[in-house]
Amino acid sequence: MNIELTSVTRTFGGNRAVDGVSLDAGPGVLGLLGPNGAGKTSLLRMLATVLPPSSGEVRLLDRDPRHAADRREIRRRLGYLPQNLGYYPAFTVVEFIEYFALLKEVPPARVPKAVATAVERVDLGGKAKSRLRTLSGGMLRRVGIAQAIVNDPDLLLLDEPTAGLDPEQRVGFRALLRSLGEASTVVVSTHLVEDVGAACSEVALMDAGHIVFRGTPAELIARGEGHGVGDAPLERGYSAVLTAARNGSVAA
Amino acid sequence: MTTITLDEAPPVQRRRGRGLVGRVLRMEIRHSAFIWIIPLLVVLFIYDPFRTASSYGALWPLRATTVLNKFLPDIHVFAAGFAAWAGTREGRRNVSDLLATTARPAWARQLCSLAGTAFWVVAAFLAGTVALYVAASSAATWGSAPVWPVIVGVVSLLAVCAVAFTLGALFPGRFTAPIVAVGITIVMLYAFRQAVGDNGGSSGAIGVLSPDGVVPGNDWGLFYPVSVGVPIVQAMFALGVVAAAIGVLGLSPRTGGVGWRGALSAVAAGGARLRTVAVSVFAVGVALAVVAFGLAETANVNDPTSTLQIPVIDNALASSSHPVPYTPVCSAGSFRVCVHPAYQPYLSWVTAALDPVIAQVSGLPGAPTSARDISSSLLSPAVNQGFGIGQIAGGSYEFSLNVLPFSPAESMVEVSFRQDLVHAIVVGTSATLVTGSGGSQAYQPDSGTPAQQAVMDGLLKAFGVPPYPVPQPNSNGPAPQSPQVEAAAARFAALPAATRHAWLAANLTALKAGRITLAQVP
Repeated sequence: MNIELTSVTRTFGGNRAVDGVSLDAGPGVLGLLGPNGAGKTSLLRMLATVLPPSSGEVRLLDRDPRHAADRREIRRRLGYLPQNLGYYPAFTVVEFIEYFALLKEVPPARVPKAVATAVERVDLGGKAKSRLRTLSGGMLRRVGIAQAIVNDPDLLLLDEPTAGLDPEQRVGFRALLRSLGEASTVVVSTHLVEDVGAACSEVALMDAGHIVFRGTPAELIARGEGHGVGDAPLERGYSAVLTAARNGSVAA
Repeated sequence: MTTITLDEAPPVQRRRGRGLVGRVLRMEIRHSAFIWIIPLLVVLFIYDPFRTASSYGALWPLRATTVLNKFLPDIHVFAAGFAAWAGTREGRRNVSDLLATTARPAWARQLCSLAGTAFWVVAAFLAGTVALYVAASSAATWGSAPVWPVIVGVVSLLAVCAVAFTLGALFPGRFTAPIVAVGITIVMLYAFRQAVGDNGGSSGAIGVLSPDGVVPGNDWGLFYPVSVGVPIVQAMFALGVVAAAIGVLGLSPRTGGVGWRGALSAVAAGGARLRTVAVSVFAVGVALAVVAFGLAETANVNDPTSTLQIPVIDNALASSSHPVPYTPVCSAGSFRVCVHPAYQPYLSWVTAALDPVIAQVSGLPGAPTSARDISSSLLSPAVNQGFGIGQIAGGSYEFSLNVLPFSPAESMVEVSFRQDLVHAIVVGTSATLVTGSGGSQAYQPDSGTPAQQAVMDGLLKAFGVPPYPVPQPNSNGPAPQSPQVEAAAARFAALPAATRHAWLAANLTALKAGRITLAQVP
């Protein structure tokens, strides 16, 4: 298992953002759904080794991130796209991705090829030498994705990766996710249930710091049959599970 | 039999970042914002340190002082501002989360960023120093480019960069850089520079540690070597500041470190090796700074060098107490004027100033037969503290070019040397020791009796030089001569040169002894 969480809790002051979450995940694309404030980003930041848990145990890529040597090795094999991507405006696309490749300790000899591959995979070849300050929001999002995958990660964490992408880019990105998920564990936090339906092999639905549903997209759709509100089957499943969780029903 | 545990985690790969740091560093150098300020620095450099150094006498040690006294303060403010700006980058650009997930330690990444700015700061400083030294080498006739100002300047700039960067990283914000730039400039100007005394001797440790000091006299570094103790202590202090700031950068949890508690706790999670290094670097830095401060406290002005020394270092090196060997350069002609080779450009000025006086007084009792330049510290206190230039000793007029202004002019040399030599011949001592009402003793310039003044001014008038300036108490300007002295001086000046010489030959001894009255002056 690339992700093993056992009763993980994270509090910020008196607020329990993540509350006793246990989760295992191997290769594949796991969609993380949930309303605003459900704890998705906090969970993702713990998986990204940015935040330590307040309690519970986290093991990533068979290593314990509490130990410095293990944490460093995890980070070498980790890709992360935060919700709000910060960037250096004066850097070019290639420089920015190369910078992260070097910081992720991709062997220097392999960096140029890794950067070129990442740039091509997000379809930014034509903008490779453009400065980041000149790019649109969607292009910057793709730069963010490229830096996340430049080290060919075994664990890829993407927070709202398709925000700002146009429909065509979104379709291309879903295909990229599917191909990445064949060998790696990809966790995608998103509000867009169509992304989950198209790209994810599994779904976890969070609410109030808990995982209230874990299953395949088809199982989530099934939960919504005859229940809930929404225009699409996944949306109906989503709202049905949330309603049940909030009414105290047992989650999957 | 070998037992294999299948679910054991694979060993941590040890991938050494060979070439990695170099590439990140190149990227940081390419993107340093300091590059944008270099054109302004060039203009500032030409206007301030270069212009000032060019106006100084053609002396290596003197011109080299502009490196630390002019150029360094000009760069400080920009170095501080841009280093702080670089330090705030991760916070300003909201990339902290993203960078926190990378394998390379935050400390290493930030040191590369700091180095990117420091590279341009130091490169700009070195380029300017090279320009100053090239200009000095084309003018100076003796000595070589001093290395210590360069070392102290570089280390001081690194200290400013390290402190400013660390402050920027700890307190990232839009206004951090200007606040840090202004703050560090104020510290440099109003803490260090203000602490520097007139000769640095009574300034205390902070004044000694200030790389930006007072401009010394012309003789500095010519007759006696410049103390290496002071620059060593200054560099040591600045290095300590660099190390301490870098240590803080590595320890602070706000910059990716483990914090003080984590650093001091044996059971704290994570990065034991890095933590140990950061604590060690910080401790070494503080120790260096404290030792340097302690050594600076012991600084004193040591005669005959008349410059600040750190006894422990300078005595150990025995560097400053032995005179620097040199071969004087002398003028041709019957009256030989010899000067230190560093003053060679001024030899013709001094010779031209003295020759007419010597022609007039040659053969008179007490008139010198040669002239030579000596260290100002070897002049008698009466000369040194009585506003004189030289003294007649052993038939030689011994003078010091230490009195030359920073921007010497031939006319000034002509006037002051003729006045001084005529005064030395006619009056003798340039100052007398006077005991005040409270018992304190001080030298007061001796302008001679009215007859001596009249003869002196008459001679000077004949040479086309203004009267000898008679200092008046509690005033900066010379006192006006009495009408009787002026009239006698005019009479004496109007005499034919041969008549003046004959009168002096007959009466100079009595005149010097004060036995000639104003009415007896022809």
